[in-house]
Amino acid sequence: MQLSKMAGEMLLSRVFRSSVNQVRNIHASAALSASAQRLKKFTVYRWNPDKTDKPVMQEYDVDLNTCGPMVLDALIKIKNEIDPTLTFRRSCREGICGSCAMNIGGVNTLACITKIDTNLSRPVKIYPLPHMYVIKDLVPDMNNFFSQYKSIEPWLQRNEEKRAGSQQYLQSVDDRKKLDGLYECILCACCSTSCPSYWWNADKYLGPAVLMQAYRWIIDSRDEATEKRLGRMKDPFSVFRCHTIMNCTKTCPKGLNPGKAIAEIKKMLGGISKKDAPGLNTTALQN
Amino acid sequence: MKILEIYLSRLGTTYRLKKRLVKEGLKNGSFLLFKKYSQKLKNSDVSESILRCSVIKKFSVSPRQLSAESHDHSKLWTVERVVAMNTLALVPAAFIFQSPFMDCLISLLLVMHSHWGLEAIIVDYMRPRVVGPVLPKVSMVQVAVEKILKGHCRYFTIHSFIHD
Repeated sequence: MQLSKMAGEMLLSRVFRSSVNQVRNIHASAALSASAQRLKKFTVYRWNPDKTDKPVMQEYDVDLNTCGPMVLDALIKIKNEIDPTLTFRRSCREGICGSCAMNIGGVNTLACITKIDTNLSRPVKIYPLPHMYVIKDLVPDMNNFFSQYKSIEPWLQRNEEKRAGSQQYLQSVDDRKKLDGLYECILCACCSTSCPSYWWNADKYLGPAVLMQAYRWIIDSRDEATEKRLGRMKDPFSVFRCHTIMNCTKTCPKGLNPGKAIAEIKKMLGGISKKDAPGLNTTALQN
Repeated sequence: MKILEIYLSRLGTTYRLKKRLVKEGLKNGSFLLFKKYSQKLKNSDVSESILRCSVIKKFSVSPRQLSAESHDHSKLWTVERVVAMNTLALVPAAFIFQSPFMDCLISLLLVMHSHWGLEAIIVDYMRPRVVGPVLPKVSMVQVAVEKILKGHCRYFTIHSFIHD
């Protein structure tokens, strides 16, 4: 009985060996082909200033198995292996320099901290930051943006100092807390270029990124140029073109809230709120 | 003007910088001074002398969009917010406390509220850069006229709606 059962099993195994092997081979080949081929389509905005052609969307197939997880990894892979003429800005590859800001899948964000959507059926669409002059491909002209940043004088301003630079300025813990959520901005311009008001009036409206930095210096307990800073923004355009659309806050890749900062500036301009007196005597160590 | 252009081009400045300098010089009334300098400049070292000139000293690279040349908008903004908030309370109040004064007040607030809204739309979407210099002004006048007409209409509509 026992023997006959064993013989039966052996027979069975001999009969099915070939088919088991086949199944095993199918699995192996599936795994093999998957590791070689997980092609994802990237549709990238291309425009060359040296040619008179109109901008085009160019398609690239990138194998996700041999590519890093982020959109920037794919762009670098395309540039290295497929098309060296593809032009984009990048530097830190970890979301701290703001160079690789672009419009990915309809959202302004940093390519280096945006994961590639692993659904292979949908292409990733990549455009430069919206409503900016394009220098080439994904590189926008940031001159207006940075000259606006310069115009708010983004540095600490004091009225008079007996021995400037000799000792540190004092700032209470609570006063320091007011700068949290403001100082982290990396000026990638994702928010400003997502704002319709900034699209229509970029020449006169400062835009969320610059306004948040203006507020960062307005609210700093060590800064004494508050009145001057506010006085220069009273016109109908610099701040008041903000219609509280809040695209800025929605898109910020660093999770900051420029919309709130603009609201605070408006409140200060309208006389609804005021800057508090410093919690500590700022120059106690100097005078 | 021509001398200015020549010297600036010698300095190798860009066209935009040149335009800015001319504008700035004319605005500050120091253009004459610049002309006087330019006579002296003919044989001397151009760049050094120009740097000493007051026009250059007043020149700044930062844009003028922050100079608050136009009117103070902050008070109007506060009024707009107050009106918007009061409208919330006044609309039901107009039904409860019926009087000609109330009708007048609510029609005034509603007209002003919609006027500011329309004005903002025109500023945003009828930009001189896009539609030319005439159309934005025409639409502004149109909105102002509409404001007056609507004021009358709204008063009578509200008045008759509530009292009849």
